[in-house]
Amino acid sequence: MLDTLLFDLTNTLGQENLLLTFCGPFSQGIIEELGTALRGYLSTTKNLSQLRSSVFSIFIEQTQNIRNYFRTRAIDELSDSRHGYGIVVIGNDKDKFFVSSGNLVYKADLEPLIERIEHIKSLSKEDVQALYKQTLRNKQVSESGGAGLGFIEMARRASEPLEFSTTVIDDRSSFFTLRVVI
Amino acid sequence: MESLDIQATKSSPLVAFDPAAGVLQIEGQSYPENPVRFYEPVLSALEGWLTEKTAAVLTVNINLSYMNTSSSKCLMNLLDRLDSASRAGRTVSVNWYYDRDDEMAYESAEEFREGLEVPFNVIALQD
Repeated sequence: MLDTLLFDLTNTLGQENLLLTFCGPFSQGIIEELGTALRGYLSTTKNLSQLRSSVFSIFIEQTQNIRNYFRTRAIDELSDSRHGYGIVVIGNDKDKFFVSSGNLVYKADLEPLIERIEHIKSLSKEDVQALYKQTLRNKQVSESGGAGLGFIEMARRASEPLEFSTTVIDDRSSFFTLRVVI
Repeated sequence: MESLDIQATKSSPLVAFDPAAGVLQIEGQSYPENPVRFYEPVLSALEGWLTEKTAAVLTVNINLSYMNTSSSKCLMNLLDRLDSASRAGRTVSVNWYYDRDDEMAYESAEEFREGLEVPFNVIALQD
């Protein structure tokens, strides 16, 4: 059963042109290891430095977002593997890189998260840039230690608008996905 | 006088502070799990030095090939502190190094520099 599943998964992932897939607990150590692997891969490509640094940056922001969220909400990655795991993929689609990730989000946190992303999506590139500068200079740090810059950074490095989706898991939580095309 | 000699890791930069020479060096990649905690000793060493050595000259060299957004905010705090020291009459300068092939790295340096009065040199790294 599992053997067939692994075979099917590999085929499915291959069809999506994914270079790297990780599903599991997002510890800082794992983020660093995946980041190193990604750096290694990107350095072998003929892409511009700016593109390489954007792919890396968006990967780090997405994975550290998930890591920080789980830590802040005390979602235990090991004791509740069904809910505590996140997933991240990096792929290549029509000559563009994308970074997509998914994770559980509690119902109470979903609305503010969507509002924040919708707000950033509604801004022009210039306004995103202005918001970045303004946020860089305010002294606020969120409860998770975040700078409030992650989504703004992704939006300013992206070549297409941020895309997200939500799927209800149960009455307490949803599965949230984010896709950023570079 | 507190010196700093923090070795680089995969996700955190080398930080060296030589109080006698008045040189602070930050070099590598910066995306530690908790950047606020990582940069706290740097700010505190700097604060102590500025208070104690009231006439000495300070040079800060920043050469980061990557920083996450939380680290950017910590560095902005550090630059603000240097800027206020400079405005108060201290001799402080910042050398900010960036990858010359990465246009966004240059723009990012300019964003940090904007509005600051502290001498801030943006220097392109050769390949």
